[in-house]
Amino acid sequence: MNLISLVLVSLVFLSKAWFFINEGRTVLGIIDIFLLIPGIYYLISNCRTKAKKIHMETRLSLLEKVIVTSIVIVIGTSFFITLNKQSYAWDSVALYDARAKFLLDGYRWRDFKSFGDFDIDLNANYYYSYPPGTSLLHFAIKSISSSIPVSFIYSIVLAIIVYATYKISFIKNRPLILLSTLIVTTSPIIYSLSTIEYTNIFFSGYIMISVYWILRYLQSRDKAFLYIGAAMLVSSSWFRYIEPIWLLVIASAAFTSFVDKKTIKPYILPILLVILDYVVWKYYLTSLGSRIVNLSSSTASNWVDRFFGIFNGTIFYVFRIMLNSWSILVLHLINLGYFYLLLFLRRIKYNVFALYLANFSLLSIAYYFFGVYYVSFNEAWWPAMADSINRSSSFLIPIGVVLSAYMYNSMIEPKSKN
Amino acid sequence: MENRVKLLEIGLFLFTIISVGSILLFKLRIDYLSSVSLSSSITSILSKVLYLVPFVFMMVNIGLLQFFKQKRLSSKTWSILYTLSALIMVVILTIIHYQQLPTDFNYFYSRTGILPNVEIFIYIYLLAVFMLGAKIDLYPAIKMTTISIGLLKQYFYRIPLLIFIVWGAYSFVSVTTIPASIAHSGYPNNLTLDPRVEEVEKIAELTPTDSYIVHPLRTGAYPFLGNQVMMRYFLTPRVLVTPEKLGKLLSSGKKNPYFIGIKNNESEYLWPVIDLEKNEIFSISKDDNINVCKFLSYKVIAVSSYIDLISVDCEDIK
Repeated sequence: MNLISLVLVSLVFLSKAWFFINEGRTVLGIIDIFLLIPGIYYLISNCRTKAKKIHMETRLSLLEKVIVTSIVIVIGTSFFITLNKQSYAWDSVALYDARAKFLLDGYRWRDFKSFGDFDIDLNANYYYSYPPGTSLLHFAIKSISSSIPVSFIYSIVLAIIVYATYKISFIKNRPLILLSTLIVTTSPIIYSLSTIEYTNIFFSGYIMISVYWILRYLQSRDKAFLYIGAAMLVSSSWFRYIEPIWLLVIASAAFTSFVDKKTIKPYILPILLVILDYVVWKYYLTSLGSRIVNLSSSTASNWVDRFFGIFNGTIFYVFRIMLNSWSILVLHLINLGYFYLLLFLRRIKYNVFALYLANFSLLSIAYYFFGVYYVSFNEAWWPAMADSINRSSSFLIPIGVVLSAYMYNSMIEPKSKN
Repeated sequence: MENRVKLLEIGLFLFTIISVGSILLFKLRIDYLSSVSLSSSITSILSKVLYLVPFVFMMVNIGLLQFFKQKRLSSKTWSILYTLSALIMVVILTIIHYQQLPTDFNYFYSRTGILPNVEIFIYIYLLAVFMLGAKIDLYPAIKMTTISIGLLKQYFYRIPLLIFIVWGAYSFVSVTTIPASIAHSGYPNNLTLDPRVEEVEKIAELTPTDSYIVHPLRTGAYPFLGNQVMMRYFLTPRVLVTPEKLGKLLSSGKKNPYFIGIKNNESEYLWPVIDLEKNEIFSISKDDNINVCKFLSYKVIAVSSYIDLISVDCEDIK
């Protein structure tokens, strides 16, 4: 995990450096890159001091062998698909691939603004709606050779997500861990995201790894892990920044710790790093003069609507559309309810990892829900937004499966000392 | 006993009046919704009919009340029955109600001020008043619930086990879709995107790189040719112009754009509209603004049997 994280962070480090130098915004670039430095420093020093290996039984049983083989086969099919295709999904052609193509043609990032001049107003800000991470990767690969199928990196990210799922499973039942890993691999949203060129899977991958590092922090209370996690979050916002999930990952850890140990101090600096990265990117976009889609503009009557909507039923309408989009994640919602209920009734053991994952998913779900509810009074296209939520919240699937496996495990476990 | 019956009668009277009122309100709203053509007629008729049901239901109940009064039977039994069936009615109406609303409902609501389900809340409010007035004994219902929960308790807490299994099964079943995605992945880029890609690539060959290309409006008829961000991938550095911005283009001094002309089977242009007598080419944008370009000359470059490029030399804007 050390090495993977190091590679992923350095990728973002290099692409950020290239991007800001190429755009002639060196000062901003230095500030932005500086936010990654603590994480990279701790990662390198963590690589050098080899962590003592936790002894697990290394031999796989027959069942485990079967599961591992199926995981490998499924990831293999993803590679088979992506190595043989080009982008064809809507945004992957028109946005992620197109920006890479324009960069190859010699355009600069700031030139994209003029593209919207003769387009409908809704598209005026299309090319700035997502940060350049994905497009820069496409650009880098295509500038090496145009014949390399770019899509295969998405399959690599699938493999990374699967590996991260394995690593964040904190239960001690290896067949069950492997089984939940297989469930994540074959779950339709994650798998299909690996075969279309959308930025969501990158975002989910970075979020997953930062969740891993924060779990490590909760385990050992070593500040280094927190900074590594923060660096992963800063990197994740290079791929998607609109939703503040990057903040929720670390804020829910702070929240969990606060309940647990009543201390919040070590979180302050990492949280500041992550927020500062957001501020830098936002500042950069405004300095380009791009018209950022302003979802927060609303009249007083909108606020009245929102308030009364809680009582007159419009809030349920949002809920229905979101449940439609989430499909299987409804199970995660039920599971979360059970988790808090059983924890409250002391029917399952208190576990800080499980509590963290539950808090994180609860906060994210609440964020998505109230975000859509908020926008639903402003924009006519809000159902489309609610429909795409299964993609943008795809990191909830591994977390949901891990939590579900924990619940399963704690129920089948024989009650020992009680 | 007499007081209770009186209260019941008053409650039912209010219930009737407000229900009839709510039906009228509902009808008015449905009419409004259909006048702005946001909902289908079948669902609106269906929900209108269903909205009459509680009214009929109430008339029957008033009759029953009279009957029980004469027979001097306890009002408790039928009031519980009445409450339960009214609750079921509320649930059914809520479901119907949500189904016939436009999909972007909250936005629609914030613009038109039409409340989504105000009657439902009147029903619930009335129900509460009614139950208070009738002093309905909820004890048996609570007792029933606790007994059934007690029976289900050991299963109730074990549902997470089931959730993990269901989730796993769902994921494994979805493996069956993988062969299909492999089969589709072999397709060349263009086929899955849109059959028009080849034509657009041909347009790129036929036009100089500094040209301006006006494409149709993005509608159901032209999902790809009207989609500027998609076309830009193939046509940069040519500047693409949406019909709404044609006026802006002409007023900025760029007077000879290309139009993407779309033909039907009889080689007539579906888009844009060309008036050869008046030497005018015009396009109608979404908000019914007509952008007219009065041209001096025009030239047609054939791209395919479906698409032409029309090079015009505009003179004036209207």
